[in-house]
Amino acid sequence: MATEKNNKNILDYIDNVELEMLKDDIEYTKKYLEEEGVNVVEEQDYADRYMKRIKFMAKAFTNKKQEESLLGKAIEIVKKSIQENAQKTTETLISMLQSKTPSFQYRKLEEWTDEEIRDVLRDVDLVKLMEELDKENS
Amino acid sequence: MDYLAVPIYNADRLKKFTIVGNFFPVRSILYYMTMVKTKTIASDDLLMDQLQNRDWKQYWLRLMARCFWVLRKRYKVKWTNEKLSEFSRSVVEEVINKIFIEKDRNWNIERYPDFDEFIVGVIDSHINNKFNTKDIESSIGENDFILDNNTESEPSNEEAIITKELRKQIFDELQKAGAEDDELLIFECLADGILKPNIIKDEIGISDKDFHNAWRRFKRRREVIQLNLAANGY
Repeated sequence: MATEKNNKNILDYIDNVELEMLKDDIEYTKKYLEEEGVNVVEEQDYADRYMKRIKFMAKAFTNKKQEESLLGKAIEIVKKSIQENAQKTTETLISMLQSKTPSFQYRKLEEWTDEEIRDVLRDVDLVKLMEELDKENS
Repeated sequence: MDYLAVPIYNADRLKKFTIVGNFFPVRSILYYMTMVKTKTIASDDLLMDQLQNRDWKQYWLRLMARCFWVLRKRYKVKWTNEKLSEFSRSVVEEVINKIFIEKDRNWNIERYPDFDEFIVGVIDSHINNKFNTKDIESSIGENDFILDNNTESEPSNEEAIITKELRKQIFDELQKAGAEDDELLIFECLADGILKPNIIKDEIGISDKDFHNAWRRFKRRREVIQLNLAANGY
């Protein structure tokens, strides 16, 4: 279906003014919707519920993105740190992990794959770890 | 239409503009080049700010009303209120989802510094998509938003001309049909080319509420105006 484009005349003026009112005048907008059979209160309740869901999801996506970005940085720092001082880096990471998971078994970090490091880093406070490694390397 | 032969160096991106073989309309190429140059997409923070700090209960109604208006005025739909309401709600939901969650519709802040302008344009474009998917795919890229050519425009002075005789004729007919003074004054303002609601209201000197009521009565007399215009070849 295509839009119909007539020559502009006074009827278009009426439509334009109405559109302006719908843009800027919430009280008129409510009346307009009511005339179209919309229950404004119910619609607002629906909007409220829908937007709460959208806000929650948007926040979750943003957090996940930030977490992934932080994780990526941490992995780089850990790998660099392993190259510079594998023993010290292993000790730092293991002590952080053992405080959270006491049963964690020690294994040399330089033997770990990237994927293993990534999995383990998900369980530690990344900011704290990066600070610790930074201190050691400076 | 003018066409230019251009090398297809990014076939995926440009294939939407293909009309015949490897030729593209000049307008599409210029549009593509302009979009590439001016692409400044809003950051996540800016989007979150719009999401968190708006009164969405009110804003939602505005977007719904926009859909109603576009469907009634541009697409001339003759749907029931229920269908119109259901369709409009789905448009608003889908647009919000595409902007804030799927990120399918990027807010180019250089082009549209105002978020209202952006979202309203996406709504118009989304409705257009729903009605005519093929048309829109040939003129608008997947992720880059641009206002479609259905956006409202104010009539030029030349187009605004209504003869004195016709103006008087419509005025008289409105009066005969029972239009009250405030409705007649609204008509006079429109005939003078005044298109801003606040200015019309100030010209007439009435409250917001009285203006709303007068306007709603006046717009129901559309048919009187339409018949007179048609009789005079408009």
